[in-house]
Amino acid sequence: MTTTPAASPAKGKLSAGAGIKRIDYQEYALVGVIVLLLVAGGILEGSSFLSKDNLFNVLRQGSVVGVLAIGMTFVIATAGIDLSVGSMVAATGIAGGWLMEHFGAFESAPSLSFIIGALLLGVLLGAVNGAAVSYGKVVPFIATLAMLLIARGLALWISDKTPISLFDLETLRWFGTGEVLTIPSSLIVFLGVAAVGWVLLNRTPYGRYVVAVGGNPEAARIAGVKTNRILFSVYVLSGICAGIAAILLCGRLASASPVAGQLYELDAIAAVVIGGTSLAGGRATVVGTVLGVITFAIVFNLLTLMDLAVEIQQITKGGIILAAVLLQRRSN
Amino acid sequence: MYLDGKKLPPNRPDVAIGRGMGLAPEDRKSQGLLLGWSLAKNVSIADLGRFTRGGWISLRSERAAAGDKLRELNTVPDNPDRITRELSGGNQQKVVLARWLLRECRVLLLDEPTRGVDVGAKAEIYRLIAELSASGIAVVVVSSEMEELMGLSSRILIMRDGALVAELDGARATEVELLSHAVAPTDTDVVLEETR
Repeated sequence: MTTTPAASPAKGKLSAGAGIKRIDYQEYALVGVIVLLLVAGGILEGSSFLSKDNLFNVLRQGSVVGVLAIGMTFVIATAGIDLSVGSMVAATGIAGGWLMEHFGAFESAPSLSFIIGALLLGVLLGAVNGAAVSYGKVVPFIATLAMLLIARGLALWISDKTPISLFDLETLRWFGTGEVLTIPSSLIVFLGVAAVGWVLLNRTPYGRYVVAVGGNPEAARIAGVKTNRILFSVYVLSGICAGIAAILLCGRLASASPVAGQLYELDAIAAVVIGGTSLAGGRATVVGTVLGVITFAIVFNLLTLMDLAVEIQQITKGGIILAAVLLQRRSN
Repeated sequence: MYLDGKKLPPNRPDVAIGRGMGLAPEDRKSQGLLLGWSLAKNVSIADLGRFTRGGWISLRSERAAAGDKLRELNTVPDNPDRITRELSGGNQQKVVLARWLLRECRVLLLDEPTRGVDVGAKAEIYRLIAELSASGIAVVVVSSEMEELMGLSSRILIMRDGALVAELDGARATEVELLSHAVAPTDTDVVLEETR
């Protein structure tokens, strides 16, 4: 990748902002990769790949991990990690289903009760993660690994290990399968979440503080940033994103399953890293994450269309993640 | 620590800054600056609210204000888009100072402000401290360089083993005086008695 040229005062103008520009290069590179994938897919699989139906379907499915990846971008920006998002998708989905079944006041609006239940539990579980990491000083890897188990256990326990049917929830199913002007509603939700994430990260003091805490927590603290509050908040954001992802996933499948979302955390982390956000913190890009999500979704659609076995797909996925992290190391 | 007669909670820089303090830490690289960030962002971090309208940062006014402060301090380069890591030690120190000038703090705590700073920038930082002080800001300099203290201070407080041991008039203090308080116990007999 690009390296920052050693700046001499004479060519100051040229190298101005080089460190910031590096993210842009990675984003351009990803756009190139996506175009290449589309061309290669068109040649290999023809219209079954390049059809609007197939591509929109790919993006519809990718939107679930996409929403998770936006939350994950904020967590990774603080040099953290959230391994619990896959389990939280299952737990928040079950929480939504449970609230729909057990809370009579919402009988006339079952979809609304589902959405409220999913988002509420997302906030709650995210807050537990956030409190453990910020105020409890637990390493993010361990705190969210514990939550991976807790949330999965909650999902199985509340649901008594059986999926909850959401077949009658028309509004909810619209989020999973509906479309606006032929564009999948899931994709619109994903891009909406991404847009909010972009504004937060790039144009608000909050986003500045998030990256500052990841880049140099001590310097951020001495400059007056409330670092604990920032750390806490990114895990809550990630929990909310898990709730939104659950709405999209359960809406598409018309049921809430306690075993849904397994390994989604890895897909989300991979998309974030491929997008150019630094695992070491201090450098984050929402646009890169969106491109990373799209790249990943297309690669796996292609592998599926080419009838490659699931185990080969897993090896490919792992290889891509490893390569992306290695590339990032070198460019640093 | 008290400010305006009110106690500051310990270990809460955010509260101290809110009450009008600024801190340039001893170790700029690990505690003061985000080295991968642009100068503008490093200057504005403690006072982003000033550039925020409706939750939205105005990048243009942020850049402009940071550029003004950097030029005021003769920072080289003064282009607010430059990456902080690329600057020399002295100029990085000016970036930290620009941050607190922008914030218009009333009390400025400078911990070893000239450590790792070349001679030219040192003189400039001294000049700046004098200007700030003349403009009514209370500047507290922590330093282990005696000429620096004698040249800058109106009052010199000497600490030894975590306790305040002497207060000298900055204009009249001599190096010998400073050293005698800093190194040797003020009353040898008492100390000897204690150790017996």
